[in-house]
Amino acid sequence: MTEYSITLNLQDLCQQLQVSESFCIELVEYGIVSPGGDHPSQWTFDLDMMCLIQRALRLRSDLGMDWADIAIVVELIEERERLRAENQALRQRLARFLED
Amino acid sequence: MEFKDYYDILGVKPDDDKQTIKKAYRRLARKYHPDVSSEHDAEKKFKEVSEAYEVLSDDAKRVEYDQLRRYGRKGENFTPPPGWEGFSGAGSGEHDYQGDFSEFFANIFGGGFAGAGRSSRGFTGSEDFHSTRGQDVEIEMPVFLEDTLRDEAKTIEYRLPHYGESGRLEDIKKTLRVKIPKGVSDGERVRLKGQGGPGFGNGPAGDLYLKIKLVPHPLFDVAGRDLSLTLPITPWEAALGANVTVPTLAGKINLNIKPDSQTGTRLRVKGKGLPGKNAPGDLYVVLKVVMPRKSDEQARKHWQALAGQADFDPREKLES
Repeated sequence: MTEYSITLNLQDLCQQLQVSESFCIELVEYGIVSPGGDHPSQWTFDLDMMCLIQRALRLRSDLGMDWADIAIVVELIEERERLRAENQALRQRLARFLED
Repeated sequence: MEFKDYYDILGVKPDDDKQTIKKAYRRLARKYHPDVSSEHDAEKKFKEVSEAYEVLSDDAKRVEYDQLRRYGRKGENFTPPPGWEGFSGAGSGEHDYQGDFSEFFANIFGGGFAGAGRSSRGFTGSEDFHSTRGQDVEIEMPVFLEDTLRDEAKTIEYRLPHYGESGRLEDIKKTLRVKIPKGVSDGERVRLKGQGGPGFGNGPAGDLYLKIKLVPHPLFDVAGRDLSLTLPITPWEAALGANVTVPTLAGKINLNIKPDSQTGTRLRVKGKGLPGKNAPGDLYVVLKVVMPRKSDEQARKHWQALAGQADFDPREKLES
């Protein structure tokens, strides 16, 4: 059976994304991700956070955005995804209510 | 191979300056960026736009491309003219840009080797071909709600892109037995270390990410860890109260419905939602009073008797 893992510490994360620790700290300071733990040495990142950072890196390299803009954009993208999911769930519930 | 008209893709004219091309690229990249766009073929369009900009933003490549463009037209089959030796090497290196570009690009500008593909830092290649980490791969993993109740073993099959020094080779098919941990939620990712694309040379293999997609259930809707079930009841069950059998994910339970219940009333059944990392969610049973499709003579008499006696006006608020 293949083992799975679901959280990374700062060192793992940097290795995984091939970026420096100071770079990740900057992303946290901009509020793009909010890891668990108080101090960088105790930080834990889940895989969604890692994917969020990957998205931020893509937005920076592909669209030439700066971190402040990216922080807003990733927040809006998340909000849009949440609203879409909520809309879909409400439509589904409404359909159950209206069907015979 | 198909000829690509990069000017057409960016919507610019062949004599437009670099600034105009950059502006057109930025606009289209924003429109089609897969992270931002909701267009259905955004990724494909974004790759086209990136490829076009890669060529037209580089003076040497643009000159090279302009020469070739005299021989080809958009959408037509294209063969480089005799004696064409490919991109002469201007730019910053042999594997200058290792995106997942078209056959046309690879043939004209080289770079058949597509590197590690699209990594977290965008399209990146490898200057050190011999120690490149393999590509991370994400696949969607459909999971039934029932399968989240316990650790569940599943067999998955997937394909990995495979690159050799001469370019992209046939995909590798892989089969893996994986454990889907109890309590996974929709959209959550599970990382399988080293099960992604093979590394090059001494480079380690990439990782495989399984993105959990909860399969819609015929009865239950999911909201976070909570489930909701629409429970049809008769008008007399709503009026008099009843004890009814209700399905949950983990088997049936008996539920007490109070007298004078309404459509839309939510009853909470604690702990019968999806399992969580800490505590399980709850099941919300939403009542839906349903009329019989047809009333027989006897039932009609009962309704008539009720109609004659009941003091109830549901349209009270409509009268102003």
